[in-house]
Amino acid sequence: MAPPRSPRSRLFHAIVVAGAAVGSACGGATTTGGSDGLDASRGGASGDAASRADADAEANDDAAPDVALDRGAAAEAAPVAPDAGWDGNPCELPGSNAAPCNVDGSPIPHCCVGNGCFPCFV
Amino acid sequence: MTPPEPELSDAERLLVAATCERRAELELRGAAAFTVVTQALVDLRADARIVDLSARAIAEEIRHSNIYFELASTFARRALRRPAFAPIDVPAHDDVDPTLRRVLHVVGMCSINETMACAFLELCLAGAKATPVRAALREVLSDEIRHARVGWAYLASPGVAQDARHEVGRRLVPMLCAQLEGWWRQVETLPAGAVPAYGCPAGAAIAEATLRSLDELVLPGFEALGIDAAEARRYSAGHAPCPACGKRLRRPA
Repeated sequence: MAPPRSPRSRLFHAIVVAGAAVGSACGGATTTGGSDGLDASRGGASGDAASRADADAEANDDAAPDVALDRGAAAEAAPVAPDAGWDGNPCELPGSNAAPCNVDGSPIPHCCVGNGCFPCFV
Repeated sequence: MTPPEPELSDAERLLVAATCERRAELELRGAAAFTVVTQALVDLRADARIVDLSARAIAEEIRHSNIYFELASTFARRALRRPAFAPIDVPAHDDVDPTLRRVLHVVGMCSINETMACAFLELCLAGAKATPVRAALREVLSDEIRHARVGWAYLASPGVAQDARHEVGRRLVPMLCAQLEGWWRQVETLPAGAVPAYGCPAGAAIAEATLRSLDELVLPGFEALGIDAAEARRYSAGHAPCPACGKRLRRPA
């Protein structure tokens, strides 16, 4: 497969990069792990119990910190690297600035407004 | 709500009102869709942080409906009937097991539809000059970005196995095809005309932004998360048909 093309939009950062960061910070206790999610032979009550036990075990092993939702605190763990092609221009919203984010320290300009902290996009 | 700014003809004002009224109804459909997504995430035992984002999206979509309704009423200069909830059609995916169906509902609504919606709103915002419209679009867009993140967050979470990602990749083209048809249905039934300065771009511009969002946001997103989008790239370029319906990608009439 050809290597992924490099998207250059601020929206890509705000949506995919930041979204993946939230997901990467999660503990991994979901039923689609292993064969639980897609193997019908493990469906039904016994399958549910098995996947619940797997999930519990996984959760107990997972010492991930309690990352504040939507603050991008786990950006370093994101599987998607910030795109160097992004122009980095700050937006017009109050609270936006070209300095590192004052919430999560991310080096790219952020809007720290309302209930979200995300790369500038407007 | 600030009164509309002055340089609008009556016909343009009514077009803006009709467009906002229509979006108020569509946002309620979005709220209904997020009830499905939220239940799917619960059933998938997704991380609570992702479920929380999705659950909040239900109320946020209702708030968006109110925002658009207020704009519609302002521009219409008369009392309008509030849109009402109605049952929505949920993609059946009846050839897959229930767990994968839930994954596809999350991916289809968030990774695809909401991501495309962000590009649409970005287009609207780029052309908008009127203060109340810009304020509304910014508020809606900032929420929709989080709604789109739900899908990417779920796909990036450690509990989603490689076989689930593979199945998502295998079913990408039919999902994209269905999503685009939904967008084209909206574009093809837009009120005639456009008022970009008031957040109402022309249908051709919306179609262009939608297709660009496919190539620049949606497909790179799947690729970045290790999901094979090669066939979807061929579909997007018009080189391969949808395996479900046999049709190639089309632009709206």
